[in-house]
Amino acid sequence: MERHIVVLLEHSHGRPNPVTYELVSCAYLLSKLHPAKVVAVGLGTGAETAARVLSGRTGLDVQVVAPDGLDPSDSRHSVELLSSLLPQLAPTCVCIAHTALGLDLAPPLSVRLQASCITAVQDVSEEDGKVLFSRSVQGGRFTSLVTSNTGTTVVTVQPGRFAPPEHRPEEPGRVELRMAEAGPGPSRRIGLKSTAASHAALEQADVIVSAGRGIGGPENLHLIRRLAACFPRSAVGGSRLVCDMGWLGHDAQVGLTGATVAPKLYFACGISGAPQHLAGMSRSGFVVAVNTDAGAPIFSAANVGVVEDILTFIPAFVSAQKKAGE
Amino acid sequence: MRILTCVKQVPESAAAVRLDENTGRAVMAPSSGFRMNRFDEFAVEAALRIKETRPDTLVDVLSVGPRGWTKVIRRALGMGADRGIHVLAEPDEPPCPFVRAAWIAACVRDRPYDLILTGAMAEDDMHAQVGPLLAELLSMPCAAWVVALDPSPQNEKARTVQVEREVGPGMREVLELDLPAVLTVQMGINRPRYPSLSHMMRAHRRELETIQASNLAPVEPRQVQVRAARPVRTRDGLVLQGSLEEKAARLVETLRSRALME
Repeated sequence: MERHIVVLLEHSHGRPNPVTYELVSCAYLLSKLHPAKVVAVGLGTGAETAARVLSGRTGLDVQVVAPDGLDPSDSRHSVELLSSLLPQLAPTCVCIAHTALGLDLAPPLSVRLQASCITAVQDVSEEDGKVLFSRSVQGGRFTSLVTSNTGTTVVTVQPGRFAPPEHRPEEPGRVELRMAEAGPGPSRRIGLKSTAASHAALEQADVIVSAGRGIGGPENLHLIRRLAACFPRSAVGGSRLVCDMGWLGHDAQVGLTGATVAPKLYFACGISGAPQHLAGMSRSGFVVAVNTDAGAPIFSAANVGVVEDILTFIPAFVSAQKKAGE
Repeated sequence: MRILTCVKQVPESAAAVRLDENTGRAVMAPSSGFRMNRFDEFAVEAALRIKETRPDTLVDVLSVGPRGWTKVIRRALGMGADRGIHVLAEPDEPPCPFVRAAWIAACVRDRPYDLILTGAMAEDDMHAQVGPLLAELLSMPCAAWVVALDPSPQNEKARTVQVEREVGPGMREVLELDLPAVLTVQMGINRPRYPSLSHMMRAHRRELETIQASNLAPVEPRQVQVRAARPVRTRDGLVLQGSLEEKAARLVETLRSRALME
């Protein structure tokens, strides 16, 4: 049976989510290491429309399974549908986005496929004939390089680590519709809530100054605001921890479960740099990290690093800016 | 109600873990200690709050680890859990998520738990898999990264649980799951209590149930770590040198030269 590398199309409102293109790049990279045809699979309402966009942009063939009323963001039935469809593709690897939905699907799917499951993959490479998957451990302080022991590997791919493919195909791929039933299961979505956290301010800012637990306490936020005030069109952001502790509202949260931002300039103050935070700001133009811990992983993800306490550094920076302006 | 919480013992601080460049392993500094994975603390607290609203609830706590790694079980008992189970495993490498989940499933398959609670992710290896894998192996529904869990029983006979979980920035889904079910919890769902002195004293005297992993059906690891390494730099990471004032001036200069600042 011909083997395939399968990309799970993550979509909403009839369009592929941007992370899907990153999955395609990851799949292409895997295919270079161990050749197999890359195809995509999409599930649920809107999948056919999104599939046509994806196949137009990438040239990939896409199989769509869209039983009536299956909300694409509802993971309940997706595992069932994928478990019956995927074995027909004899996948070497199934690439899923590292999102809440992806993390719901990947582990149980791997059990059904007798596959390994490797989450939060940031890079792939090859060594001694085996594919090596890179993932962060210990809060981002180290990278763990792992290999799979099984014929099929299900991976969740960290957003922001693979660039979307540049190559534009001459022709779109084929979109094929498959029928399937989705029966009731032991869990049901009974509602969707918007938490009314609007990230508009963060998304429109040219400069973001973000605070992590390392700033010490909410009483030091005035320094964060002072630094933000040095720049026009700026906003204050925060790590998940700082928002959970109530130092800032959740509308300020930057990260995997918060806003994804790409300002021209990003200050990470007292932020350790765990991958969940990096996923939200890795596309920033220029990153400055200020942290008292010289070993913090943020320094590997910053353009410029300053090993100082913000309590003394921010006032020094503000003075220096004033002086330079004279 | 019978609840199982699964907890993991992790290094006290990530900063205490060093990379041994020769072996490619991340090793603990000898003087460092261990603590309970923070996500699991929230899970234990969630179980205890259910126990407070439903008096005939029993909360068991289980941890997989080598001999002597029982500190976190005792802590959970000290917080108020009823019984501790230690799955004793002394492999050369920390077990992969599938092996952990398979061992736990083997231990609990014949026990009548209504709810299994665990943290959404371990702070050390960050796989975020054991909960969902365990649910699949036990044929139970699972809700992962739960941010709200209603402990008060709407209906004593209800065989469902209602939870909220994040499905995207600013979006939460409300789920109803048939029991028995597995829930993995996100941090911030509650405020974990400190163990009380009286509970801790009882916890130290409590006999733990020990299950040898070697007596369970053998499970093949599905992934293997080849080595640990320093994170790949995604940017230059130029660390400024000099005095505080010199660094501040240098940063201003850098930003101005890139037209990032007036």
